[in-house]
Amino acid sequence: MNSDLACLVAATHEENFAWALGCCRRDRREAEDVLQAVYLKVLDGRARFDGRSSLKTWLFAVIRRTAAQHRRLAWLGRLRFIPLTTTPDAASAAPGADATVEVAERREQLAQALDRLSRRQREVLLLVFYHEHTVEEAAGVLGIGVGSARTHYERGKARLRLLLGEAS
Amino acid sequence: MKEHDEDLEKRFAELRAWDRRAIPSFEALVGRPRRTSRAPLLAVAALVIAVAAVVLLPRLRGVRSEAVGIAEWQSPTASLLVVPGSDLLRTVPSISESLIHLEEQ
Repeated sequence: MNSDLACLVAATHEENFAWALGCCRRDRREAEDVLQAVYLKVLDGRARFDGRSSLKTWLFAVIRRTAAQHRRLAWLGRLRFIPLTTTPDAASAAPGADATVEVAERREQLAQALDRLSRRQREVLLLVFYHEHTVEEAAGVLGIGVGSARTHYERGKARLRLLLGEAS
Repeated sequence: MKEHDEDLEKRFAELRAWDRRAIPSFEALVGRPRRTSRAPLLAVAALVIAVAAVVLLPRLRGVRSEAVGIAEWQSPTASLLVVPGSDLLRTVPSISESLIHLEEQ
């Protein structure tokens, strides 16, 4: 195991988990499985950092790809009538855990609105607003052109505002 | 680019703060046993085998029956070759054999 790489990856663990959560449509259990698979890939050397982007950008791209693979396997699982391993978000399911109900409602509205966006729009908005990437960095993570990322960003924002307006 | 997006920024910040309340540690995540099963892959393998069987078995059966047909083929005029006394023609006596046979007797 490359301990230097492990330290670097561990340093961004919170961010990685949050991004995995976004890629797994806020399913915590699935996000944990995806992130574990990513870490093992990275630490075993099956996923190699080539230095063409920042470590964080590369890691986010690996998380995104692994989540997509996981989704496909989950689809096959459904094909075999295996119950999905999804469980409700334990934290968000806890009633009354929030300081204010209003904040909880706003958060839930945002999560639901994000879920209704296209995957690209959701990913770009999460990267920009949640992870505070620039649109250029988001394009790097998603492996798309900057112009395309900008289009998803603008359209996603407009649609998100519309959905949030409908909800409130 | 985000000058006029304070409303969205605020909402995302709330979501981020909530998400970070209960994150499993890096060590716990790496060290725990893997939950992902190989069941879906096995399902695909089983599906491929089933499809291959459905597609290939009739073909193999066809090839086999063709081979058996060739091996068992008989000419329709084969019966014309059977004539009275044909046994004598099939069993040509050997001189040495008949001598031995006589000596034994």
